Amino acid sequence: MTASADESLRAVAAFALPGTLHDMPHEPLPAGVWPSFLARVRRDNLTGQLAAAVAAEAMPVTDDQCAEVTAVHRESMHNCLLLERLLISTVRSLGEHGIDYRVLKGAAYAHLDYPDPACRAFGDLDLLVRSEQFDLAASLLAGEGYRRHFPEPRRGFDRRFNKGATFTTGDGFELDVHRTLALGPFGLRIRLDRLWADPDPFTVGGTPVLSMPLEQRALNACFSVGIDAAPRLMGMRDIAEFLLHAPMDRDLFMTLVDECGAAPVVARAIYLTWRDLAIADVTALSAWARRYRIEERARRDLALYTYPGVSTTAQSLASVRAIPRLRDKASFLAALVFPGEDFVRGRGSMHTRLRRGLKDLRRATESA
Amino acid sequence: MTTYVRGPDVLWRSCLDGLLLLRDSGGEAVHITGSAFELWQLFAHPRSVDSVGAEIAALYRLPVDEVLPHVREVVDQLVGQGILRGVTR
Repeated sequence: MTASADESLRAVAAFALPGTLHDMPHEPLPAGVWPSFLARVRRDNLTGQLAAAVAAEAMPVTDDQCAEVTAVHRESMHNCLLLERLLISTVRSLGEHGIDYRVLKGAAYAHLDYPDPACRAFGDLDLLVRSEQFDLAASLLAGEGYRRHFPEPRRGFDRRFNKGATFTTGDGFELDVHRTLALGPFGLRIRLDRLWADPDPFTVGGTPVLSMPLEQRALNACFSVGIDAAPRLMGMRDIAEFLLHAPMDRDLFMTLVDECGAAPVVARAIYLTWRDLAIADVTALSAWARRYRIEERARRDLALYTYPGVSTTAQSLASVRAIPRLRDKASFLAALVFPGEDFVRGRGSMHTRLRRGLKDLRRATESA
Repeated sequence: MTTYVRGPDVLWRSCLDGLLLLRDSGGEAVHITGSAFELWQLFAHPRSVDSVGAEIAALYRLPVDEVLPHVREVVDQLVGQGILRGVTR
């Protein structure tokens, strides 16, 4: 029987993982399946895994398919190098202005958590900056020609409540500047001081850069999968790398998870990883994720992220519960109800957005 | 004797058909094929063209005389592009 694009994609994502039950196709994918398979490999940043599988002769390909894989992988690695060049210039600039940063996600995982950076493609850059330096970082980037996607609802909103902001360079490269790891209630409960614990350094082309420690990176990887309605296989592979290969301090990791009330997110992320990558080996964390029983309120919070089509306004409205002080709750709501003109422009009226947000909130919590 | 070493500002990735190199200070990416990966590994520390040629020849069990002109050509190209830099003792 011919393997489908879906099955092959999961097998590539799980390639060489200990304990995976996914089989690689036994013969090259037929011409009718190959293009959609390769398109999804590119979309999901799985080019590194596919190249590794082809190089190890685990994934059978025709000569033409091999040439395509070679070209597609080279193209994605070229893109990664251009992003790393941008990373170096950006962190230098932040450093010159006294702004602390940590490299997040793909660019850090590739160097710190994979055996070879060529196995982990990434399509954008993610940096964490401190809340109190967020506005300075945003204005510095704007001054250097980065275009911000959306303005903040009100002055000071980003550094107090938002997850972060997305910027684009003139060349079309995307840079996500984060203050915390997630939008909405789960993001607001994260203890930010923990993200700034002793950093893990790595070098990019001879330039030393900093990322978060291993356990914090693993938490971030779990957030990427756990609060996504349609999580990507590459994100699951990241989690598998952390849980199966990295020398993680499990107790420290669980302390971080518990401190920020992220157990529902992390359990979902690990459960989906073990299910979709068909990992038979049981670890302490995979066993915990399988046994985990989510409480009603957490289920409603999680539904805000995982119920398809829920707007970010609904997540924002649900955030109010996670904001500790009454005065801050009021500031948060005021910014959403009376945002600045720049923010409203092109986003529909305030009433439309609020109505939709409340409707989504109701739909998501009813579905939970 | 001149030895050569990787430039301090070079970003690189291995790919299925060789190596991609890019200077962080600017310029286009350079794609080298063949025994590019081994060559790049050897130039992690200052090495002469002769010693690298001898090592590659031994690795592929080829005569040094056959390998050396190719290594010299690649080194010249990479030096010209700022990817490798010469270290004169």
